[in-house]
Amino acid sequence: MKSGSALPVIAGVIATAVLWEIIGRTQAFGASWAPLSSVFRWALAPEHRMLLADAIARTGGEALSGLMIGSCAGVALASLAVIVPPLARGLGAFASLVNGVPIVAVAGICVLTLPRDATPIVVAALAVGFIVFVATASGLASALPVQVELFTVFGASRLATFARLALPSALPALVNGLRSAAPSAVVGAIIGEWFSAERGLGPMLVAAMQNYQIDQLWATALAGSLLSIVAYVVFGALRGALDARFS
Amino acid sequence: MHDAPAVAVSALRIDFPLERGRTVTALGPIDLDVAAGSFVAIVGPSGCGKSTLLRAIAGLTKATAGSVRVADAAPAELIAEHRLGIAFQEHALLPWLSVRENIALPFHLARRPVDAARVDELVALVGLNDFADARPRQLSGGMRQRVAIARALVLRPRILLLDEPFGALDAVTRRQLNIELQRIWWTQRITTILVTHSIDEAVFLADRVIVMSPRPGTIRRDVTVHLERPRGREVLSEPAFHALTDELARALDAA
Repeated sequence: MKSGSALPVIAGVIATAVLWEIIGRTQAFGASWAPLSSVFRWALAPEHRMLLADAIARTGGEALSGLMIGSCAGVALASLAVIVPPLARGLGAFASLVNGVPIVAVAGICVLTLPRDATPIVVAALAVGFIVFVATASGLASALPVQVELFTVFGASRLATFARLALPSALPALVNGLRSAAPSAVVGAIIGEWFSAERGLGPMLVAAMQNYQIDQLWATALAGSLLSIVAYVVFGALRGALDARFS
Repeated sequence: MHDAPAVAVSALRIDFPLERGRTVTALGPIDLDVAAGSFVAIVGPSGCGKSTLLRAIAGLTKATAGSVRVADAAPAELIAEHRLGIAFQEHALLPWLSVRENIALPFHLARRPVDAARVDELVALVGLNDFADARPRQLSGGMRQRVAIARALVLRPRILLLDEPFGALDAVTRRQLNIELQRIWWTQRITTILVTHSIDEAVFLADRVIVMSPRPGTIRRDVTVHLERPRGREVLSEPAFHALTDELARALDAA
């Protein structure tokens, strides 16, 4: 992120926080809109702090595992489509099909078929896989035609062209895909937890809704967004570093 | 020097497909022998197929009829032996590699151990010692083309193919690089075919200039350049140089 773009971001965050506080205090939209200050008070209270931190760590860990597994699968499938061109159409259709299954249905099936702990990770991986597959596929095709011709005239094998041209050319697009996919991994992990887990942000959301714990509900939602934002920023920084090198 | 021509193009014709199964003849018929160790420049009006001819010699475009032989082999065989060198108008350098790594790339693609001494030799030959570890984005357009030419030469190819390598450069840089290329070629003596739209460039660099007709491109004139080598900047002001460029300009206009 450029330093010049930090100011509007900070201003936006402050404006949102103030607006949130006003809506909560005045109960403009009803009692279920908790003021931001009361959400923070709940989150920072000694009896909740550890609970929330543990849930963030757990969901974050699942999201990260899912992100890694889903990314590896997405990169592997997109690479396979390039190395074995006859497979390209079939793999694309397969990825679209998997992506077309509603994530909630996927979570339900996982609960019935997989070990309990695996569900959030698998759902996160599935949420990520398609995004990374599409990003990688377009990245692998991004080498310039003249570079491809150069490799041809130099007698490069298909594998060498893949490893030394297509793959490095794909890295910025791949990291861009990871950046877009990271928030989906968090959402996937929470949905997965919703169905099966006893710990994590998902169960805390369920508990808050069932017990009408307004502050807990908002604090947990905020924690989930925080995870997504951190992931987005980390991969954004990585993208910036790669851009300097790969273009 | 060998007796057999380094490049033998005979009755070459290339058609390109249009819509609804129709085709258009882009090039030919062309007959052209290039002597081993010589420098041949091909000039012609834009769209005449001169780049297509070069691409056919590089094995990038298939002949519709006729044949192309390079060092008595099909282009595909030379590609498989990693004995073709090529540079295009776009430098086609890999942005994530340094100058030295870009020049060494053909060794990797040929699955040969990198000959570091040869790479260093070429870095020096194209005058980029101070930029050996720089990345392409840090170089000027002229420097990038030098790297592209060094990369084309690194495996000592049987033939060097240059497709408008200086076409995107400003006039001053272009003239400098012409002088550089003349000097580089003089040290390497690799059979070279240069496609260019600059008559000055063609006469300055080549032993022989081929003038092509408009599409479908055929050979209109075939002029031998008798200027002595090595050629320096002073050649550009010799009467013989201007007599030749004038003659070729007339041939091009007539074409």
